[in-house]
Amino acid sequence: LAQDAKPAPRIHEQYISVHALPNEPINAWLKWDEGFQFDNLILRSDNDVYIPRLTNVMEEVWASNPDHYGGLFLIDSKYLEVDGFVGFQGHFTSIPDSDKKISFYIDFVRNNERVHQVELTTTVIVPGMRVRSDSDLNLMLSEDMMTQELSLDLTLEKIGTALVKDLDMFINIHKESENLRLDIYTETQKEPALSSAGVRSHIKITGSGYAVVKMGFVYKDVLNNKYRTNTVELILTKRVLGTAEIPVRSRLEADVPLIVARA
Amino acid sequence: MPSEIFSQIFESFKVANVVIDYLKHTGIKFDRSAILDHDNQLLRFRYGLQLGAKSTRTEEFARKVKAKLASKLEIAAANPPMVTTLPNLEDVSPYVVTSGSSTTIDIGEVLDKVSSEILVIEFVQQLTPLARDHLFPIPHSFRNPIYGPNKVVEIPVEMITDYGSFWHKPYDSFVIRNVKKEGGVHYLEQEILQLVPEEVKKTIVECQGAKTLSSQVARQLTQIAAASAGFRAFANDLEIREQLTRAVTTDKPKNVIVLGVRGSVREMDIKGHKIVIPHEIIYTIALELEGKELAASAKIFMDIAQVDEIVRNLANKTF
Repeated sequence: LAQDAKPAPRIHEQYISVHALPNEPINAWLKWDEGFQFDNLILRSDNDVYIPRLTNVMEEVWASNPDHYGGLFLIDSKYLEVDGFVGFQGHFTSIPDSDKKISFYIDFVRNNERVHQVELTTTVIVPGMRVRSDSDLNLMLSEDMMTQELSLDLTLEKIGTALVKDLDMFINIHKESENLRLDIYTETQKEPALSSAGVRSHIKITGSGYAVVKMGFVYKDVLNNKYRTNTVELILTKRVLGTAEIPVRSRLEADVPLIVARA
Repeated sequence: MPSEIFSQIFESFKVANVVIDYLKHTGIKFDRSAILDHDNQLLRFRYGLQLGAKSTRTEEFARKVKAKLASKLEIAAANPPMVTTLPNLEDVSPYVVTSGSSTTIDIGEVLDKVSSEILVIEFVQQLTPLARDHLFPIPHSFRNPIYGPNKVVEIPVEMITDYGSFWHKPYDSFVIRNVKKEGGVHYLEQEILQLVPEEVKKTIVECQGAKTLSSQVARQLTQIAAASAGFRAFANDLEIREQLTRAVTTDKPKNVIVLGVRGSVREMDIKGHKIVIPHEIIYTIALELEGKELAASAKIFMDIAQVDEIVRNLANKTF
């Protein structure tokens, strides 16, 4: 058994950034005992990563690894500038729906055989948000309802770790029958986050007929990556003439404050 | 690496490498260290030659060294090197001659004449900002700090060096210091409402939700907007800066020095009224890598509960 054991490097330190936003640099490095004999290091990741920088490697490594988006680098040990150290910088280039763990692997190869593997795992964080409606989304506007105070309440639920910036509601009229007219008034909410609840928009309904309205939110992270929530669908049926107005309110559901000011 | 940058880095180390080659050739034991001041790009090289005390320095040793010295040590540096001896600061000026940007040191004469044990030679080279940033890229701190439990915000900082072949092996110690970095944490708007007096909070919330303002509420809002100018102290008051500085700590004081913390304010528009509110907590840190470290990570902690207390006190004075 002892004869079969592959000699492995003694790793002093392995580090990777604890988290990063999409397209934010992820730094990582590995320190091991000087003098450990191997032929190559293979740096790889199965995810959508861009690796723009390896540190303390010679120019030849770049020449032999021209594809920085492929998630694979082969580093000949003779091209390491410092024995026992390699570092790199990577970026996750996709926008995941929610926080996502990604891994990089560094393999030590000798005689075409992997003698040791180091896994470096980090979390790509996003300001993921989900919207749901606390109101009935199938709204029939009849004579008696026209005198009632109507409102549509949306709840925003936080499903990602990163901070949210520039939160804005969108309301799209998906379908509208001929005799029904919808006008959307969005309040200029320069300070959407100061109080976590507030009226965002009003839907003014004139005439009679039916309409389908889709609502959701767009927002950014602090690096200005853009995101969009799911949408909720309001089905409106109005059987009487006259004008009705429905204020649309939203409420943030989160244990910790997660929204930053507009830049 | 583009050849222009390579040649800039190479030039910065060339003189120092000539000195190392010369001293190695003499057979004198010596230690060598370098310090890079990241802020002003000054790279300071220091060599300590072990001459041994004159009383114990054998003629044989001096003869051997001198036999190897085909020429004097020449240092081509724009600023003349500092040459001195330890432990006694003896006058070595007769053996050091500067002409233009070249200085020669007669090591053989030094060996004959000085009684101290160590000859110290120190000189500086000015790196270009480009070369500096390639050798030691600006450290990374994350744009999205994590708001952790107990209202402590955690900001990771990472420092990583490059082109170690220039300095890692040739030097016993390589220190990179004074790497200044500024960062900020947004003071979350939702928090501010919890810190102002209840009647102020009530008015602001009412105003945000209302389509139109009654004349009474509009008057209240005007008063709040006028009073909110007191929040400007969050950015300007020196005592508040000191209090904010106390709210920022690090897990690696060896690598991170907190130089100062200040606040900033911004104007928030509510129904046409400009209300001043605390906006950002801006920290300035100096980072340091010692003893040939190739990379290091650290965490900066910002105690938001302490900042809340500062804002609450200020709000009570303001409104």
